Amino acid sequence: MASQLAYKARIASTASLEKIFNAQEMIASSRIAKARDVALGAKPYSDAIFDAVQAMAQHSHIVHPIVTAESSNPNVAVLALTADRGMAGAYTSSIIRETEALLGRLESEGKKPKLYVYGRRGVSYYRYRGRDVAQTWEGHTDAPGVEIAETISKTLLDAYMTPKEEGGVSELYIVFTEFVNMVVQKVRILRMLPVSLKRVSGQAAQSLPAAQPLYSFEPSLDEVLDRVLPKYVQSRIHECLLTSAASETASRQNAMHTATDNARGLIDELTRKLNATRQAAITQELTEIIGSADALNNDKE
Amino acid sequence: MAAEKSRIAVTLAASDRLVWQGEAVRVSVPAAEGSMGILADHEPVMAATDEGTVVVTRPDNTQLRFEVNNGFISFDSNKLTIAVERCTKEQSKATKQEA
Repeated sequence: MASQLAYKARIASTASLEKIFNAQEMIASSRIAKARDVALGAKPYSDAIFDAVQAMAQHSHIVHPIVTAESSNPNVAVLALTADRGMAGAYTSSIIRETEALLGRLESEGKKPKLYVYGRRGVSYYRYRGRDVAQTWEGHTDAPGVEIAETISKTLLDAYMTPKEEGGVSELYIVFTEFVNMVVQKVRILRMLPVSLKRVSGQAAQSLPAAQPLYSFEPSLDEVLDRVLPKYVQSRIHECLLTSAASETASRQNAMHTATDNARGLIDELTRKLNATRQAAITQELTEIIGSADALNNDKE
Repeated sequence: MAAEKSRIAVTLAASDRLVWQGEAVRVSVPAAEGSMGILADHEPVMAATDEGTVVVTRPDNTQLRFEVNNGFISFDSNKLTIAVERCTKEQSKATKQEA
């Protein structure tokens, strides 16, 4: 049985860890409000763009490089959205696992994937393993603003628009974590480019009014497409960043909650053991005293 | 219709926030080929916009001015949506002007 001092030291260190976990949990829950604000702020803009793109898709058969795939180019881009900081449970590792699976699948299809990573954890993972990463971004993974979405989408659109001979890519996949609710977050793979506008058909099309307004385009349909489609891609990427940020915060809160509970359980268990040890020591001392007193009494008789 | 002037429901959204939402009788936007004025019952139009000033004339004849950079507008059944990357400066204080 370990000494009482050892138990006391372990209880003290577990207690201070528990405080840290608890603080992290509270920080995570306070950040959720911030992440939600950012997400709500971006919504009117992305709605406007989405509506415009849907209206255009209804209006005419869109011919634009962002919509039509160039299938002869084997280069594809994969963007993995990971966290900046750890302590978020399996958040980053599930993203990395899915990314690896996707890379393997693309390679088996004869494609040459290029990896783009967002988030310090993912970057350090690939750097440590000496993997080729086309480009990385770090910072603000728990509340990504428009600026970072703009930078990322610009880089990726540039890569997409570059001809095959100069190392351009023909497809873009995003591996991100979808925020289902506070407890459930799912890793999803989304093919972002070329944009598929097929979602207009089916249920969505039925809810649209029968007579679509015939828009006129200023200065021309192509110019408006040139303007709107990159913004559409950017706002979709921003959406992915935002839902990933919400998932990151939620999984950090969950992980920290579990860690706090675990630390409290450990403290309880250790305290029980400490009490048992103390009791044993007291019993032993008493036995010794009684034993020696008995021995003295026996001597007298 | 003359007695009750038609109004436009305007939504001005920047990429990170909703900038302004409200009613207007006239909106002028910096379209790619020069400034474009929109009155109620304009034909449905989608236009690319450049850097410039969006001027919103409200029903009480006050004007709001917004400095925006590039984006696009879409107008349809008296609903005008202006989506811009950034709205750099906004003069929310109404300046009275002759109609």
